[in-house]
Amino acid sequence: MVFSKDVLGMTILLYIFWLLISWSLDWVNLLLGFTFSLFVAIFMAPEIIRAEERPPFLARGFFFLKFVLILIREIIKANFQGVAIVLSPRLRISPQFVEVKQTLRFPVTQALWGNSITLTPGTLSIDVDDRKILIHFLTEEMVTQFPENPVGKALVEFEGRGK
Amino acid sequence: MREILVLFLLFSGVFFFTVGTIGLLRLPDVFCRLHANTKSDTLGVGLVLSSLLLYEGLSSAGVKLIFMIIFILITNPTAGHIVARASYDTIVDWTGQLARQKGGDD
Repeated sequence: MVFSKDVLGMTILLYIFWLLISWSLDWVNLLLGFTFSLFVAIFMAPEIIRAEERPPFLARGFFFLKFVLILIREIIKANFQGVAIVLSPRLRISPQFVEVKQTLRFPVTQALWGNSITLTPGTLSIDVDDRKILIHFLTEEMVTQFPENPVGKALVEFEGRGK
Repeated sequence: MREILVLFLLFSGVFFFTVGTIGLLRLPDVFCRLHANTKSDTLGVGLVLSSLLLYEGLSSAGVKLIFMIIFILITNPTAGHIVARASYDTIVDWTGQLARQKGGDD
């Protein structure tokens, strides 16, 4: 089925993107943008993230927004920590690899979690699969702090515990 | 007033870029260097682009700046992750740390 709900949603998203980028309300522009959005969405139909692979972004938008805000706070924290480590005269680091279990169910949230790990203080995701993540830690104390990572908690909240 | 805020954001962005580059030069191996780079580059670009956004306002250029911030926030950690995984798989082991962690095999 070519005109599924996913394709329609993708078309609308691409069309909004086109309108914002082109920033004009000329009728040729509007028509051209819609045609291109529709064709791209149809041709890319097998690649579109399907509804069962992600939590409902619209219904749980509040939790997604909370996740983004927490992520930004963690990025800023990570940078000040990075400044403290890099600019101290003696590098006090003890790099190590640790495998950590993960319980997220959707591929989209797993990808978000992997990227968030890279952006939060002192951690770098190296290998991600359904059950575990291989993480490179910069110092010892970050290994002990890791289970209390607020970004991970926000993502679990975003997924919700329904079915 | 707005100019002061723009300058503040711009220079803090440049500061984090500088720290990231110093970290790139000082830290010992690929993974530690990626730590310094992924984080500081994301915030550095974010701050520089937000300062431009504040300067520009919500015009056609401003909307493009917002999209740039979003896409850099997505692509920067992904690129760092790919570099990290590639070097983990091919073992670029300059400090011997990887060999110790893997128990000395290969």
